[in-house]
Amino acid sequence: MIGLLQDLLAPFYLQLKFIHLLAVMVWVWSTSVAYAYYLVPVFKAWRRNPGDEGVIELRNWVMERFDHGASYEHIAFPIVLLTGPLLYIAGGWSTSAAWLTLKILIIVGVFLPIEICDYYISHLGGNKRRIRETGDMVRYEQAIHRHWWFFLVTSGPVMVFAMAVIYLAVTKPI
Amino acid sequence: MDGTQSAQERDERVAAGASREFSGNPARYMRLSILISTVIHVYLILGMIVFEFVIHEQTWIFGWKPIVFTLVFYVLFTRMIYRWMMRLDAQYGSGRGWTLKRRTVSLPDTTKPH
Repeated sequence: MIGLLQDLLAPFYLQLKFIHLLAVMVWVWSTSVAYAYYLVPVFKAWRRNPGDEGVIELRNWVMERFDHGASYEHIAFPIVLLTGPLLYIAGGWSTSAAWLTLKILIIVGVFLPIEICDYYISHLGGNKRRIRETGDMVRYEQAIHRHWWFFLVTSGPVMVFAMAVIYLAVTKPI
Repeated sequence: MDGTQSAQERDERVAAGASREFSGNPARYMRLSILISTVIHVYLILGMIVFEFVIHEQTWIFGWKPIVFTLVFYVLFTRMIYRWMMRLDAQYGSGRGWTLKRRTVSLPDTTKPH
């Protein structure tokens, strides 16, 4: 089965790689400007001025827009997850390549849980616009706080390990 | 939805925001940084041992270079994510005796048409 799939996919290895790389670029960078220059400054303003009504209103607006803006990232990530294993099969790779093993471990153990959580808080049960439409403002505030916790906890590891994954893929050092 | 209702909803949202305090603080960030870094490193080390040593019988994973690299990276990574949390949450300083200082900020007026 794997052999047959390898025969079928091998001629398209470079095309698959192109799609994979394109999806990785979108996944890694698509939210970066909105995050660094729109969301974070407003949230920092809120943390310094937690009772300021103008800042809270702007914080709520920017958070709802960011939920929506994460769509590009969350369309690209499943493409990365799909094309990665296809490349693995098409290229005849195995876990004997240590750089690939480490890369897979990072994707599965670090990024997959983070992204599952991100899907939920951005588009599913934690989507701020939908919560606002229910009229439950206490839950709305809880959702904003939870999302800020998510950013505090994950953005450091995401930056380091996203660069690590790209470095491993490009240089194949081990 | 009419304008009055919308303004009322907005006021409720703002009131809910002003009344609830965020639960993050430097001590929690420190504990979380150590926990997150430890969990990630233990997971990656065990995963590499399983694939490299158990499956492929490679012993390089137990050499001094991977061990030193991992230990140094663990310390630097823990420190980096702690400092990152502190800076991201507009909290500077060592964490001990720290207080969040109020600052005046100037943000765009979203009520006026552009």
